Amino acid sequence: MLSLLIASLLVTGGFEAGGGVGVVFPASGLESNHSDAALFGVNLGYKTGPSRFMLDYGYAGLHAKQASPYRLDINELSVGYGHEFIVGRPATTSDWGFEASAAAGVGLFGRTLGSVGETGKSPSGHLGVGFFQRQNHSRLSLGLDNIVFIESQSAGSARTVALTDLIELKGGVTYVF
Amino acid sequence: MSSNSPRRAALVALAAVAALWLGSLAGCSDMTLFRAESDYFPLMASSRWTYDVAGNTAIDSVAGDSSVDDRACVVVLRDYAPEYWTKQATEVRQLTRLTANRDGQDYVLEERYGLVYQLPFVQGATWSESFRDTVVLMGTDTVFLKDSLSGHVAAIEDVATPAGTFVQCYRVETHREVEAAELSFTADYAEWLAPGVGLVKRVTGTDSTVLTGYEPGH
Repeated sequence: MLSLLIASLLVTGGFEAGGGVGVVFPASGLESNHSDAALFGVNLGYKTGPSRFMLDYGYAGLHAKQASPYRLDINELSVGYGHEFIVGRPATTSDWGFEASAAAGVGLFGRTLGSVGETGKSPSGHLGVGFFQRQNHSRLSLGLDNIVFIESQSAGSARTVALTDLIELKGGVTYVF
Repeated sequence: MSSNSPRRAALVALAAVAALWLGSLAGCSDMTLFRAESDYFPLMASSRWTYDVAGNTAIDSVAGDSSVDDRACVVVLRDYAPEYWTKQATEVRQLTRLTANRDGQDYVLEERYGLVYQLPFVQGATWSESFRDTVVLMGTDTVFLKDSLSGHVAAIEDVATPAGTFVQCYRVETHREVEAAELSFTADYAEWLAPGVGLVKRVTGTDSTVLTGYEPGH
């Protein structure tokens, strides 16, 4: 049944694949000793009507604010949903508008200082808004994403919950099949 | 529209299942970002730490900013005796002053800001610093001085103290060796530093110091 559903979706929707670059701004305390960093990502998408379903991978390497062999690597894999609000449709093969999106994923982290390091992981959530323009087989986008990594640990009867914010400004190019 | 709605609902369900699957991969998090954003050696004005030192109470507090040896520093009163600390993003240093007494007069053998911690803490990190000098006292008494310190971030642990349980503490092991005539000594100690608090426990040989109270400054 599930395979039939997936098969029907594959023939009625449209696939997209692309990549993006941007800047990630650490927040919620991380910015005190980590600098802004470049962001790289690749994504696969599936669009049906105003809905887009996305599988995203992104990477950013944050360095210390002072000269140091320290680096915080953040890898994230997420699954998300975007809803397009089409504002203009100048031709049958083109349109533009705004998109609101939400995603959930997992972050994999590495903190290194010279040759030593720590690794870790945590769940994450995204909320994003952006602008897009689609023309023929290409889709350009520019948007803001707020990523929250949710970490928690229990010790005795108490639980420590830490939320870490990253703000992303990113642009992307997607090929629409 | 009506034919699209079930399809969209199915896709949303698929996305939710995938998100849950990803979330389950994460499991219990490792608090890596929590450690990355935490200050393990806060020196905010008016901060106050109370310790139990082998049954006695000791109080440390941040008195404020000052300048010693032409360098801006933070004055920490350790059981009412002043210590002078400097802190940057990559290191913490403490003013070290060694004096030798000759005929009732004190002579300074060493006065410098010595490395204590290398920041940020990352498990496995090591650091060291060695200072050597030759000092001639009273024209004829030559003292060879060597002051070396090495540190190692040995582990990430939770520490239970009378002041509470502190999670994600770094255990820092330090070896210090001073060779300076009658002032020579060797010290090995382990310290546990907690995020947002600082030192919560220290063990030197069989002696231990544990935090019994903490009042953050501002």
